[in-house]
Amino acid sequence: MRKIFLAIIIISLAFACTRRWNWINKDNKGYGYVPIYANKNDIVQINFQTSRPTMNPGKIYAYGNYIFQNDMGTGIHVIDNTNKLQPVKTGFINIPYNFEMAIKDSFLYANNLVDLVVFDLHNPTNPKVVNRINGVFPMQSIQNYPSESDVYFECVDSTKGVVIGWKKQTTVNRNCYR
Amino acid sequence: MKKILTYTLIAFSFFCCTKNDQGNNIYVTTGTGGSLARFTIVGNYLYSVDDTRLRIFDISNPSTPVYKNIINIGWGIETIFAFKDKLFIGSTSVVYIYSLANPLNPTMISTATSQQVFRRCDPVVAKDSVAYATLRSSSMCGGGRSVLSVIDIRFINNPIEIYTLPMQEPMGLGYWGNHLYVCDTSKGLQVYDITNQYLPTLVKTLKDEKCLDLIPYDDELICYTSNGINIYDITNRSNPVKIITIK
Repeated sequence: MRKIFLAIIIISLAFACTRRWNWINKDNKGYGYVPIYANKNDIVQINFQTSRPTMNPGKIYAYGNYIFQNDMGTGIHVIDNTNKLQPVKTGFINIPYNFEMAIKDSFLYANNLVDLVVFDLHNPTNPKVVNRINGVFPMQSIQNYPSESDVYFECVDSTKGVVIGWKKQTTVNRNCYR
Repeated sequence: MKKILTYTLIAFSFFCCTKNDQGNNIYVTTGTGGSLARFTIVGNYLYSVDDTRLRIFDISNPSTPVYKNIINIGWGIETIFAFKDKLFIGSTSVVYIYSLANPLNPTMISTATSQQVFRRCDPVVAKDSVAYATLRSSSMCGGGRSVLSVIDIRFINNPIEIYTLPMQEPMGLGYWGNHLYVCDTSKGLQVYDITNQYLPTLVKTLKDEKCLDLIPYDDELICYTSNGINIYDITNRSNPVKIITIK
């Protein structure tokens, strides 16, 4: 009896958040969501590149004679402001899915999707990755389901990579619902 | 297009509106962010906020951060601003004020709310006994009208909004000396005299200079714009003069 009760609870829990509606071909809103995957190996590809135009300007940070600007989702522009009348871009730190940064004692802290990455900036024209804390900024809301509720979506398959967003479309493998 | 959508989604989940840390350098070895930040450093600790929680990293050894603690704050967190031994955490509904008496385990002292708006995206900066917040009621943030809110924080347990100025679409803000600079995305860059800190007086509007956030830094105003960065000379604090645009 106790076992049955336990089984019922476990089954209920399993279905509590994400209900699966494989057996119902009900039209909901005429659209659903499909996960956008990124390859785990691509995400951690960090390198220092020559300066380039700013595409999607993001947050700014000042440290010493340098100014930094995030390019949303792609990395950080490094600007040498030693000559205040003629500041110059000196390079670009390519950091996939980066939006945030802070600097202390010439060490730069930046998010690389869900990881915290530390750069040695003692030579700002040649930043080096010195540390990484994996998965410290989990994005549950994005990685498990789309932000919209009462909607069908394709279940996340973690073997396909890391979910970095959701695409709205009319034809969806409606195997998940939330 | 797909990329843009992806970035938008990530940006939303990672920060909704945003804000940061700023003001004159308190810890000389730490940099200065804008008022739209989610990372801030105080002493030997890095603080980061996601939409509900505050994370604390020990960076006493700067090359080797250690993840120490996580604290639930509330819903709709967007920005974090450090001033002296306090954290000002801006959300869509309230500004949370946390004590850093124990830097590894910040505790809530009080919350500041505005009579003027229901919801807002609010970058906050603090200065001695006053805090300034832009409360923006755009479509994304909800609410009724936008204001610059002046909050008396002399009694930190009981912050009181004592003055508001109507704004159009305010974003980031920051001060340098006795001047407060406010980004208004539709009105332009505004300069207020805050000699009387509880009664900001508008002294200049640069209509064509639109910005999203700014950092006053070493007699310069570094502005984040939709194109990149504008830098202004603020040697004359009431009259920013553009030095350069970096795209």
